[in-house]
Amino acid sequence: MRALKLIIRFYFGLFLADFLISLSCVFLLEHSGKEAAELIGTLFWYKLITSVLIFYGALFYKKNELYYYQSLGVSQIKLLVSTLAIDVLIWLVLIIIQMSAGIPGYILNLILGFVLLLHLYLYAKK
Amino acid sequence: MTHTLEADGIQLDFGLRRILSDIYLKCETGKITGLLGRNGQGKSCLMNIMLGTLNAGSNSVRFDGNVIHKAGKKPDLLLYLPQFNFIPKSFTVQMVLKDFQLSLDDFINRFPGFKDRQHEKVSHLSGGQWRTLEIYIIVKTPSLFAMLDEPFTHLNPIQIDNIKQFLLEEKANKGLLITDHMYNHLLEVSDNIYLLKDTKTYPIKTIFELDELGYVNL
Repeated sequence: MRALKLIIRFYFGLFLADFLISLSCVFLLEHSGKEAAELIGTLFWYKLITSVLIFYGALFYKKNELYYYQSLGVSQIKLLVSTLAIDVLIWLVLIIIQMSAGIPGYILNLILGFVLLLHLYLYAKK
Repeated sequence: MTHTLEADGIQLDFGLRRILSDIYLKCETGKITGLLGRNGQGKSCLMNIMLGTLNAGSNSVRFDGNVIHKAGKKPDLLLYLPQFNFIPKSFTVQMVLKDFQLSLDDFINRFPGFKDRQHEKVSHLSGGQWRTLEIYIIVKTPSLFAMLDEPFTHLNPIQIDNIKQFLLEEKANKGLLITDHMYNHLLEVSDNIYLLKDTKTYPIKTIFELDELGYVNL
């Protein structure tokens, strides 16, 4: 349980960038209409490559903090694999919802606005 | 029961430059082992090899006589304080102590300067307080051994005295391997001292040996 809490805390630092990428995939699906299904493969690779780049950047800028998690028994590999899994899962859920129900554009804009405001608030609180 | 952690036969090269060879170092629970050496002699590299985060050409890190790999993945065996700040800036004092399952009251009793500061983020603490908190969590968290890389950096003289007292109290619970440039403080608290010079470790008995080996000018 403690490990999960630490993994989520680490992921929160990367959430905005990762979520914006996921949301951009949903926007692209929403705008592509009937050809949406053909885009899935491309969007998967787009998501995977950008996620790996974001995680690589996080490892570079947060490398000192990794000792904190290691001292608590959460290794670098465990941290990376878990956060990547959570991120891909969120992406997958958004894609499935979009493909099955079709999220209207204004709802996506609302989600985007909410996430940005939340991050702005948390950043200001820091 | 006394446990031992040994580093033996470690050899490390960076390209053509030999950093470590003929290394022997032994830590025991209940004792503080000091490791001295000039900048660039490989003290931090040696600690990283013992931790398992740096691969050496050949090495034997032994716990109670048995070879172990990646000791850093076993926090109940070995904890490591790096020479830089490692607690994420946005974490509060209380959050950090809770993560390590340590009592806030015990911490404040030991270091009263933190009274009423438990809700502050570590980035709002002074450099000395930040370092004190880091030393506290690494030394206080249950494990058989802890390695401290330059623990006295950023600390003022009073904080250094407090930390030295704290280390002497806590050595009963674990074995400590400490490296720092403030050799006088290290000599005061250590039970055994090694000097790392020209890729080799030398066991040191008196400060005069440090002079003979060119580490200090007496």
